[in-house]
Amino acid sequence: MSGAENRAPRCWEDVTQGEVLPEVVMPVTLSLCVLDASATRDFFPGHHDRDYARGQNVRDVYLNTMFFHGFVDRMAGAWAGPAAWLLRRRLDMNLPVCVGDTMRTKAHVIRHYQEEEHGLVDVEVEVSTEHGIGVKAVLTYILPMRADLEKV
Amino acid sequence: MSEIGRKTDLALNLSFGTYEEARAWVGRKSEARPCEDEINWPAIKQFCSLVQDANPNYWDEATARRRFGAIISPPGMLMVWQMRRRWSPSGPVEEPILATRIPLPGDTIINISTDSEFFRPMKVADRLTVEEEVVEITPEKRTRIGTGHFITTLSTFRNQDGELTARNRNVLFRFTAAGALAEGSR
Repeated sequence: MSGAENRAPRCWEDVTQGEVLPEVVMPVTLSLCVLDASATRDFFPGHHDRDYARGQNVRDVYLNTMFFHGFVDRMAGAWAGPAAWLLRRRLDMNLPVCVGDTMRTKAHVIRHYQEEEHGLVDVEVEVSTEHGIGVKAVLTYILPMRADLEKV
Repeated sequence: MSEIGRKTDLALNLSFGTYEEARAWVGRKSEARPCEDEINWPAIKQFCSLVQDANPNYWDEATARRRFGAIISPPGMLMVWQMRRRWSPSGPVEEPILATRIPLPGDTIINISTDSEFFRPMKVADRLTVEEEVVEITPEKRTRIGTGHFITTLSTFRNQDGELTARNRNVLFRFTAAGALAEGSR
């Protein structure tokens, strides 16, 4: 996804319920898991030690919760644009996402509504691998109204 | 403690006990603790390069200044700011997160879900303080990966001015891996 796409603010009026967000695909390598551990300062052994992960009944080293926070925020945020404010994110880890898997996102707008003066959208994101749905999340954004856009 | 607890040199510092003992922890709060580091740009760029997030609020000073007055932290880093280094000049960091201090039988953990709310931007140079509370500990449950207890904690983050910045509800599974699979039959 290019930085240029990311720079375009999206206004609330232009969004429709059911709108589909662009897919993001990312392979899970051991290097990615090492970068994950260091960037999130999370040295829990399941995220870098294969034997430990297997002792937990998990296939291999797996990505942590903080990775998925950043990953779903990035994929939905690239669509919502840099003027959007993430108000709330609910995220469920369904299956561990392990080295050797390929992640694919599937996301769409499940609700488009107003509260007080704010324009809100709820976006549902699923991150799937060959083994099924790994992570499910719902993100609530405040989007700028068209009238606000020149201010942001 | 079964084999899995001893296998790693990175001790989890889990406390062990019964569910009855654990229940006394519901409602307990940790003291408000300052996060180790102030919100800082190098850590932000490191995280954004992990998830490949090109949002200019994290990379472009001019844009971020115009919107927020400073580069801001991605919301996805909320729990990162809460993490602690494993060693400091005063020795190894022994005080683990609140959920791992609860006495229970399970010898390992896996994170299950989060519910996070963001009230104001986390700006570079801000200093967050976090307070944790034990909200719920379920009776023993059997799952695909093992048997144990689900622990819900609530972390409340405030900035250096005491303003409510974010809240995170976390559910963690404290469990013992199911026998046959733990032997490596998988």
